[in-house]
Amino acid sequence: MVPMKLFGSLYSPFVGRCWLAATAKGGGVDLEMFPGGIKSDAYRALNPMGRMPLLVDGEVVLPESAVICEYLDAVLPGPPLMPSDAGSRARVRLLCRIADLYLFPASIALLVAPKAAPAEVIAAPLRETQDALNHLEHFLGEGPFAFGENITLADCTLYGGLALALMVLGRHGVTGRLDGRPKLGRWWGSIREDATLGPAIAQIREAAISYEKQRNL
Amino acid sequence: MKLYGSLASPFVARCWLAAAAKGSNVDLELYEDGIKSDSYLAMNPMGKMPLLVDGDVALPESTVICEYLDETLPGPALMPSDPGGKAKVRLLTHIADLYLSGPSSQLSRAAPDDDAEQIAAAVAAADAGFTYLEHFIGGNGRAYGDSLTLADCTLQPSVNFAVLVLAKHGAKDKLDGHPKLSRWWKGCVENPSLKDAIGQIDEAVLAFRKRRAEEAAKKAATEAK
Repeated sequence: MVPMKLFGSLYSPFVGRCWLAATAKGGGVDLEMFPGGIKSDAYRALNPMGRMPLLVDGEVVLPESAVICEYLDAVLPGPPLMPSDAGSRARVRLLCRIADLYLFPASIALLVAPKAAPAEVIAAPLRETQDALNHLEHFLGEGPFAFGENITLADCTLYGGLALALMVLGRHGVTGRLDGRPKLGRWWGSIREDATLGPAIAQIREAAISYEKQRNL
Repeated sequence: MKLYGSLASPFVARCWLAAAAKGSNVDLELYEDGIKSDSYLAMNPMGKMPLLVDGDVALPESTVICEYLDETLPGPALMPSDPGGKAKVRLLTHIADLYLSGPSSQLSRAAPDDDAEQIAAAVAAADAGFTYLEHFIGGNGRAYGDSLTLADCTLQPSVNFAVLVLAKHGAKDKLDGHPKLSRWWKGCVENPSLKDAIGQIDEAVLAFRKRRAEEAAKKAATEAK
């Protein structure tokens, strides 16, 4: 079997999420930077959104991390990362969706806001990031995983979302970021120690730290 | 099953179309105490419509609801059977959600005389969303493949909403110049499984827009006094 190629860099939480999914499946994906970069014509011909990641599996060319993750789960050997019943699957998708629609956009708005941005500019994304964390707390399982007794795509998705949210909230002086969110707190404590995901998470953290240093964030 | 929300919302409408494509009925209702009530927020803290209630399962978020409806209702499958096909269908919905819905909502809220720069940016973003859809949508009058999929159901209300709000801000018909999208639109609104449901949605959207215009006129008249 020719390994699939995942184009992107692990400092992106969207690439990291696919990397965690591939890791949870037991591997089978090569991670590479796209030759020419993600704004090149060749990349845009495959992914007009011009964002990372991009998965290439033979004839299948897929942008968008949420879509890639479900694809990896369906085609790679290894344990299923989605529950077998429709209601539980919906819960896992819901957690991923809350990250995609609420947590990431708000956290990224905080990330790109200048450090000296006036309070009224950051007030809305700050509040939206906190709201998104509350929504996640509402729907998160009792642990140790995001939903149910096994790793699902929700764990793979939420790691990068929470890491980013906690980082940007910290930058804006928010303390006690997981206070009043016991389920999120428990999950955050255990997921990084997980035997399967832990080493890949450490790899992602290293990539994020060196990126932040390089960009002086 | 109960689907809470109004068909004037493109997110409720896509669930309605998914149910129609399955040949099934879900009960559509407005949540009695409103979507900002404590009892609604206890089920859906995001405080948005729709919300699907199926026995013990209470599900917010239209995209999640659509896949759930496809998996639990009888009727034709709305997802292809191969992982690559499934991914392509999800990708189209995802593009609408991440690149088209945001600028559409922004344009819907904005008055034509609001900050011109912000409006221009939202119009450009919606334009980009259409370009992405054109890139990935099928060329034969279906969003993907040869039969109806969830992508047809999710895209129709989102594209309709985007076209309407762009028109409000003076942009020309955005389907022009996007031949695959134009062919898809025609195939979609003429589809016998969707036609009636689309008619119901169009009526709800018209009624909503009329009510909004009347409210705005009343407000303007009060302010003039």
